[in-house]
Amino acid sequence: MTDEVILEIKDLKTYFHTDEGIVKAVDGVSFSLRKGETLGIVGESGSGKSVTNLSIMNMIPNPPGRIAGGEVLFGDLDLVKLDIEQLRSIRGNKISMIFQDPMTSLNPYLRISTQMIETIVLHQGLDKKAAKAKAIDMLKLAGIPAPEKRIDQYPHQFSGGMRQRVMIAMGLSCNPEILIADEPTSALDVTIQAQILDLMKDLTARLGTAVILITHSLGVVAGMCDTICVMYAGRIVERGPTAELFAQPKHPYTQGLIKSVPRLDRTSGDRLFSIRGQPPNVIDLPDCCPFYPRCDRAMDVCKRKYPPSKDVGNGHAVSCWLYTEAK
Amino acid sequence: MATTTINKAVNEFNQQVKPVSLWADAWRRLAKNRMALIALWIVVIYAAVGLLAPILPIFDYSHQEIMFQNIPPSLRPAGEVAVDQATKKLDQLRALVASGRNDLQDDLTKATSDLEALKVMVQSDPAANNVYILGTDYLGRDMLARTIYGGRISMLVGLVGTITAMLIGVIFGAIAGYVGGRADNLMMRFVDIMYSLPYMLIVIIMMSMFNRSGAIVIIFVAIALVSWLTIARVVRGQVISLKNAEFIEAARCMGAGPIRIIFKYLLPNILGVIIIFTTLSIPSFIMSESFLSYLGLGISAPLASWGTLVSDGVQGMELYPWRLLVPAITMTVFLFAMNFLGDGLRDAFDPQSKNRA
Amino acid sequence: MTKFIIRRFLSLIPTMFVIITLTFFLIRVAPGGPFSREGHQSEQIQQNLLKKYHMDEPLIQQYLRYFGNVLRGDFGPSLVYQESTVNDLVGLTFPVSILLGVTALTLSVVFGIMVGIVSALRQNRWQDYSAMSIAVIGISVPLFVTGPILQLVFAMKLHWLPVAGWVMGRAGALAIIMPAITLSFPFFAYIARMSRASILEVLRADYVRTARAKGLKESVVIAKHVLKGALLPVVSYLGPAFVDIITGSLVVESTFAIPGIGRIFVQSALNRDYTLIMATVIIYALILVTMNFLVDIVYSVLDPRIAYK
Repeated sequence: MTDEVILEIKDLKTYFHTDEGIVKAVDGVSFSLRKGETLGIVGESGSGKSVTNLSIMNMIPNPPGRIAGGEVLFGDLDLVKLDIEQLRSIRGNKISMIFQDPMTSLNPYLRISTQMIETIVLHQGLDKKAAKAKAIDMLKLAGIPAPEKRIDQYPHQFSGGMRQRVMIAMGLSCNPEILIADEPTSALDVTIQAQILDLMKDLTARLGTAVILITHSLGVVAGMCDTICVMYAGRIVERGPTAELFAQPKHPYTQGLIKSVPRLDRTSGDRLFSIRGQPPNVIDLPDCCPFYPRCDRAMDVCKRKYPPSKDVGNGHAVSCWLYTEAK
Repeated sequence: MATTTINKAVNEFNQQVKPVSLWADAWRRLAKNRMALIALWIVVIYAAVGLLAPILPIFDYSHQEIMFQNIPPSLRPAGEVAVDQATKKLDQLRALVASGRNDLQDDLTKATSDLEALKVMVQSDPAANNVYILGTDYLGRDMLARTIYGGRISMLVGLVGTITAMLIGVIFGAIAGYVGGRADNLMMRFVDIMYSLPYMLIVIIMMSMFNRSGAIVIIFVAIALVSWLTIARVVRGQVISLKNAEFIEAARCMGAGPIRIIFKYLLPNILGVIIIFTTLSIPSFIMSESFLSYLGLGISAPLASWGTLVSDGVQGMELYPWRLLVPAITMTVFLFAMNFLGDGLRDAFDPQSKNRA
Repeated sequence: MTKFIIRRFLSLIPTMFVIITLTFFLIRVAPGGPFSREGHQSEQIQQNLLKKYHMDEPLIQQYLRYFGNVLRGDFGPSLVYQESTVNDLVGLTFPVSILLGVTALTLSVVFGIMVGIVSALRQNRWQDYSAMSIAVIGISVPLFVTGPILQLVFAMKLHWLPVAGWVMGRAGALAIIMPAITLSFPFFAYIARMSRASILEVLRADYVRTARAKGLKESVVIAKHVLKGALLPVVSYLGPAFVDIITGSLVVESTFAIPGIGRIFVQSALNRDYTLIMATVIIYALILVTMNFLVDIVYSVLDPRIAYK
């Protein structure tokens, strides 16, 4: 991991115009990604983490969604403003994405070879034979046994874990600068999860790929990521290097999350902790800190205005009125 | 935390918390679909006219006025229109004879005397004052009345047939799906074999053989006999996928027996599919019945259905187009509306079709 | 794969058996017979006729005799058209109906899928609305209305096409146009609606999202990833569609005076011409069952998940 910033998200806003109102799924998200860095985005369902990712590559279904503001700077290009041709040359090529459910994310009617070759041929200009050879190499790297034979099979002939390996191989086949992984292990058995995560760590380190990993599991990010962003109700509430964040969580939500993880070293007899309340409905949310109904230390200002982001040192930032002067 | 039982409840953010039941949601979505609403109104109007037909101020549908056959639609009294028609025909004949067609001279003479007789009769016949808004058919029967009464029969066939098919199919499919195992296998093999019968042929054979007496009942039976298969399959599929859901297991843990589970827990969840099937199968029934009627195997005179009216109308299509167009358009509009309504219902119940605006 | 085919093939047999048996006994149950129409024939003549056609034997015996004959391909003599055998009559008329049916099926599949694709890709815009409105008309207007209307407009008023008749007769190849279009219209409508719905559903699938995330052009995504899965339901529909088309041809043949099986079928039911009815039903059933069989095979070839079950 170097200090060179390859992706910078500035105040990204993605809104969905629905029958019930405007859903502000992502409402002012900013973070940056450095070369080779593994960044984790953690949050509950509905916090906006998947939408953030889809927004990076401008893959929001439109209608009803729209990127309503902000910039996504990749090199000197603003991905939000690119036309579709330019976007396509980046997708799968410089920035690659893999999804949660490998069962439904692979086309059941086409062979794996077809699905892998098309990306390589498209972005790297190789002919079919060379592309197939490269695909077989990638499968081997991803730990698929007898890849020369299995590449001609169909997705339903692979197990869940194997399919995700195929997805990873496919995602990395054009050697992208960034791999975005949207809950890559949530649909897998726990034992397989560990394997897949190890594989991702290994391959991306080898290829020098930066990773944005989205998950709802703190355990996953702790093992994999250099930096963590915590999202709540469409915004990043806390951001920082992994060790720092776990050691010194500043935002009450982060603290709550960490406390909620059951620990082996506590005596059995204690009640398990959970943050009281429910995440808010993000339609027509008023200007306030969205966490305040569930926060033990909510103050008056929390109900009236959203707290700005405050840098508390060591690359660690938090958006909470506890750390900022209310003006 | 706010509760969700009161309509105007707000939570701590001052956001409205609305209860969302499947039905309320579906109805709201249906209401936004303009075409479906228009379709719904059309269907309601048709049903109302059909139900109220006996008390509506229209002529008797089987009453024949031989003098006033094939009167075109008009707001003027039948006597005038008849005289106009005859005069036009006479003029045509005169023109033909004048241009050299001497073989038509006899026809011309006859037509002239017919016209005179007609004029006299029109003075004395009270029926000459009738206004046939949609014209008359080849036996002088009012097209409006016949179309309305034909609609009653057609809609009745559609409704009764659908309900029969639905009852049989739902019960069969629900039991097969729920019980599973060998019974299910057997039942589905039965359905498969029935499905491969060329049913229209069998219906035609049945209709042509078990004729006339109680024709209407036979039609229901014949068409319903095969249509229940589709709904049975669909219901079975739904039941199988719901059967293993956790809320069913919970019900079983509470001691609910299979009958109770089927009727109280499974069926309400399948209701959406059933409703859609019903709205789409009524037009299909009406089509099948009109098909049979066209072949002469359906409803017999003096009763009429849209099918028989259209089939009568085809005969004189070139000269008396209204005899075809009136029932054809009436029937088509109804089927159109039912199909649109069915589509709208399908979209309303489909959670994925939200937010398409 | 071959085992699959053989298994499916064998399951045709009980179905055919049921159909033949059911129809045989059904038509015998009906009141009236083929000879009771002749009215004033004497008892003696009626008896002789019955004897000639073995109809004085017990029903089971007649059934077995008939079944034996059918297995040898002999459908017997026509009971009403006394100079012809059923094989002759059917042989003359059936190919006509099949030709009409296949033409109509092809038209409906080709245009139905095209329109369905356009509608799905231009969802909720004018192309979609107009196409789907035409489709709803297609399933709402009966065949016996579209036929005469087409005749009225294109033959009687515009004189572009012959009113009636068949390819073999005076009218020539043009004669097939209106009947084929009439017959194909409802099925074209159904296929258009079905493919539109299916494509829309597949467009929402995860694997389409993956394809887009790989940077593929939209046209490639549609042609390569979407269509294959989306058109499978259309393939399944072809079996029952073809049978419905043959049924529909009953009406179309009578409207356009086409010498196909449809016209004699209804008459034979009314006349109680048992052998002719049986033959028609059997052939229909054979077609239906064969079409379903073929469709199943094609489906299993297209969907890789099926063949390996």
